[in-house]
Amino acid sequence: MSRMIRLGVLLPVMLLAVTGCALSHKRTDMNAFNAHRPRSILVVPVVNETTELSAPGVFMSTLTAPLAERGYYVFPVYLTEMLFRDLGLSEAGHIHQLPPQRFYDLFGADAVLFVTIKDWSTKYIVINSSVVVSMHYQLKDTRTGEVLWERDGGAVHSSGGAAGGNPLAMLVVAAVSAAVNAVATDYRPLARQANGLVFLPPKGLPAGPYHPAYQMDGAEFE
Amino acid sequence: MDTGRFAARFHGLPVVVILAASLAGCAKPGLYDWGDYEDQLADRYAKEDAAGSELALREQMARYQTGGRRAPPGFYADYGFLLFRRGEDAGAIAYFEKEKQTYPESRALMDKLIEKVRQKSQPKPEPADVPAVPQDGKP
Repeated sequence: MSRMIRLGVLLPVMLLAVTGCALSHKRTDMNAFNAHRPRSILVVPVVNETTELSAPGVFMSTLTAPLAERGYYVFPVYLTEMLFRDLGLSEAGHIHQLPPQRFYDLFGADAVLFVTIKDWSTKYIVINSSVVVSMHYQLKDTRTGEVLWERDGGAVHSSGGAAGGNPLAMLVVAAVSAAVNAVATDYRPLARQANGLVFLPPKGLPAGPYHPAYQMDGAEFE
Repeated sequence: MDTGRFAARFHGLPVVVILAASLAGCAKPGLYDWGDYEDQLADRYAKEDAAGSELALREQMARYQTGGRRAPPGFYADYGFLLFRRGEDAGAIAYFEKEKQTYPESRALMDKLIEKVRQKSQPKPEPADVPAVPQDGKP
């Protein structure tokens, strides 16, 4: 009996140790980021690969808070978009093609965040529906053009108990479902959830200069 | 020590840790007081109308000035831009300055915006090497 309990304790610990090894294996991923350590991030207008015209505006409104809460100076996104427009750059696709140094010249930003919306839809399968948001995030250094950090992120909300007994997933579903069940789908809770996950450890952005953990959380990141 | 009891005690630990972690997650106040920043930003994108958010911005500003948490990045710049579009140049400059003082990272952009507002206020034929600000300043 006691041996079984001991195994029950050891197994999760061993599993943790194994995943721990797997994680630390990829640490080189953050080398470029750690070499440049940006203080400020310019979020440029997002490229929308979906047919949902409202997606970029809705998504942009959810992006500043989680980035700033990581401790970075985030340039005001709406003002940024207006300034680009005034320069004749109203197409996000064209802005994403600019040499990264331009963002330093124009805004004095240390890093620029490019986001592409890959999916932003409600899918119906028989009587179940699932709401999906999916994004690609890429952060580049404005002086060297180097990619500092790059991730895919997203969130799914399924109606009809797709959480499958996972308590955490069920919590998320419960939190999101009120909004999703409204007449017009409110994608913001999902966008927030996706942004919340993508910027946090272990795969997110290390704490920036306005965060109390600045330069002290290196071990938390892959 | 009785290994069985020790193991059983140890067994409950992860649950406690997870519970504590999730509670801490709820209670964490965050670095900034965002007010309804996201809502009014979404409105601005949807309706291309900044005027509607002015009242909300003013209410938020009052909280920051009465000793609340620091205004989030971009807040003062946003407000200054709103004033600029309405033609209140002096107010616009004051808030661009405030953004710069609060967040030195914004210095380069704020200096360009201030320069732009000044050029508009005292029209002199000078070639602009700064990024232009939308010219539809008047409502």
